[in-house]
Amino acid sequence: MEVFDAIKGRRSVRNYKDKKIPKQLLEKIMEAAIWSPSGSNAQAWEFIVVDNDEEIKKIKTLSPGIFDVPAAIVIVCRDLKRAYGIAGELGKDMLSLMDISMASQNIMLMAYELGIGSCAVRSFGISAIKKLFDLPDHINPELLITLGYPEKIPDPPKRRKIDEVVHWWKG
Amino acid sequence: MKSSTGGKDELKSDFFALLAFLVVSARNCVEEPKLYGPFRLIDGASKLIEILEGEGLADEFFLEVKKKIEDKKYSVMSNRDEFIKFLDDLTLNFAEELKRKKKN
Repeated sequence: MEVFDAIKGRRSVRNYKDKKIPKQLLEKIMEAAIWSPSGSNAQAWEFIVVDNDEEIKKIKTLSPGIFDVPAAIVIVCRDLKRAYGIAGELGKDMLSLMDISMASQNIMLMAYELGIGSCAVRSFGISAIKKLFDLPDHINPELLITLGYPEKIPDPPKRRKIDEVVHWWKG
Repeated sequence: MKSSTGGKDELKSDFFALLAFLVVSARNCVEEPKLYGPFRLIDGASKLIEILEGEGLADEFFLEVKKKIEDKKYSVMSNRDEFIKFLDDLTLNFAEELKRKKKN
């Protein structure tokens, strides 16, 4: 699959089939995550992969932004201690957020290539998830990525026109 | 449709999930986009009907409301006007149902 096809074809999938994702595919998806760029090469990210039904249901209970039971959920976290240690205030406050965002896109594109749907979810109880998984203070859950075989693939939402957002500088 | 054979424990667990949804939504609505407030309320309404359905307490009207919510709720993310019209229409449905009940 061409990268461009994955970029254009990926949708936010919110309804999933009741079918588990083979472990080796989840491993490949997570390998894609760790190959994303990061400011100062800090790699201040931690990923918790949950594919146990009981735990998935607990996460869903605390996540108004999850509408169906996915096959797996990746809890994308920032390691604030590491971000600060390597890239200072800028790393802790801003770069680490950018970094996990890029890693998340890698996760979703890799999943798409493997025929797996995904959806990035921020509407969840951050402190509740932190408590549920006994995360230390410096590990912040920032995004949930649901994964599963799509039951329904939504239509692409409207895009702003390229001419409206891309400005070719004529110096 | 969910089965009502699970008894009290299942009902309690369904209500626990609904309450957690409401509480976490309340917290998140502090920072989330304004339109997510109505979105969570209407999604909560659908979840409540699902519980009633499981208990055999959802009548035709409730089931129709749930279907409309599930069909249209995601428009909040793509078409604000469509989402608001869907809420307006649903509100009218309740008024119509009240009038219908009064007649009977």
